[in-house]
Amino acid sequence: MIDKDIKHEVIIEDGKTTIAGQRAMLLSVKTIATQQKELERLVGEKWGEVVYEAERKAIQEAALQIFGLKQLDSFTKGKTFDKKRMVDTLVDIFNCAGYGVLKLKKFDEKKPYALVTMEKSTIPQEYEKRNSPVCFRVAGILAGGAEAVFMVPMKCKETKCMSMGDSHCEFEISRR
Amino acid sequence: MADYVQKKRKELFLFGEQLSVLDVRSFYYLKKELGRSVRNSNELLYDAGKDAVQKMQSSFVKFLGDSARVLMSDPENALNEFVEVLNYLGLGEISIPESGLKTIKFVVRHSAEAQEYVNLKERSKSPVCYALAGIFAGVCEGILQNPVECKETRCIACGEEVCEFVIPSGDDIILTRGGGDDRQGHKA
Repeated sequence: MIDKDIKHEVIIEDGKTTIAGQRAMLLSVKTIATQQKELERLVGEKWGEVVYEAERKAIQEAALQIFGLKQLDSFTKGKTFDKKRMVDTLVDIFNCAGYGVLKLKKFDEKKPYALVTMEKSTIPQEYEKRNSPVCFRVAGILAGGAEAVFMVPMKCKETKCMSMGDSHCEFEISRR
Repeated sequence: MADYVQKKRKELFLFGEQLSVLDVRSFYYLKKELGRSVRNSNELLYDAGKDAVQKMQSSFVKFLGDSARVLMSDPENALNEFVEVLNYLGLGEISIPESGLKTIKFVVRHSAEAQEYVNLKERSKSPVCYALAGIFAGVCEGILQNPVECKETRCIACGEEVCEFVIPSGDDIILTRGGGDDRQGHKA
């Protein structure tokens, strides 16, 4: 199910960039942070939801494709999957993406639930200290990835953020 | 060119600035979400593209020091060099089919901004690569040291084979923005 030959690193070839076989683009962290700040200025608090939803939908599709699945209900066809291995694969891919270093702290396949931390977070470092988290893009990525792993709608909330003065970012992933 | 892009462990850097990866689908969905939340979202994307390139050009100058000044003193060469840099960012396969700086044309194969429209078989009535148009405008402004506007004239989201972008010559600049029909134009 998980192609052992898929490279988890970024590959740049003939104007196309891919990661784990998925087409991608590269943007500087500074640019991403600037665009987030501009979006926050334009739409207020809602900016996080805009970014989160875009990532969640995109990464759900990407992760399903990585696992060779077509849609969220594919598991009902009587197949069983090594979910921990799926999670490890996604974490490994994520750690090549330039957002920070993700570590899985808790994982409950039955609930379903996961707790992850992200150290050396790149985007929060572009912000002055603030009262609210900024890693909505990462939260959306984690939610989308979790949906492909657990095969049900999932949500992800950032509970600690380096932009708020925490030593690392932390995310709780649970069923939506 | 390979020296501009550096890999440290698994991370990528361009001109010393860390790069992050965006799935092209997220760009597509972000544009859809923006369209629902923000008025003039296309203008926002155009400006964002321009801003991104201006930051990149600042980093480029800092990174290369005196070599950057030498390069920038030859605009046509500088333009080709920047296009080569952009080709490392996964935006698509970018080329400049005609030489000279009078009217500058960029051609993009497999535009990352429009690709998902093609994948989803979603046909757009007008070009969609607003961020790319802003990027090309930003590149040319930085090199030519003159304000320019870039218009997308062909787009794969409209069923064309490639995306094409034009920056008109200085004599008859028409102040239009990005692709599509939502432009306000007047002669300079």
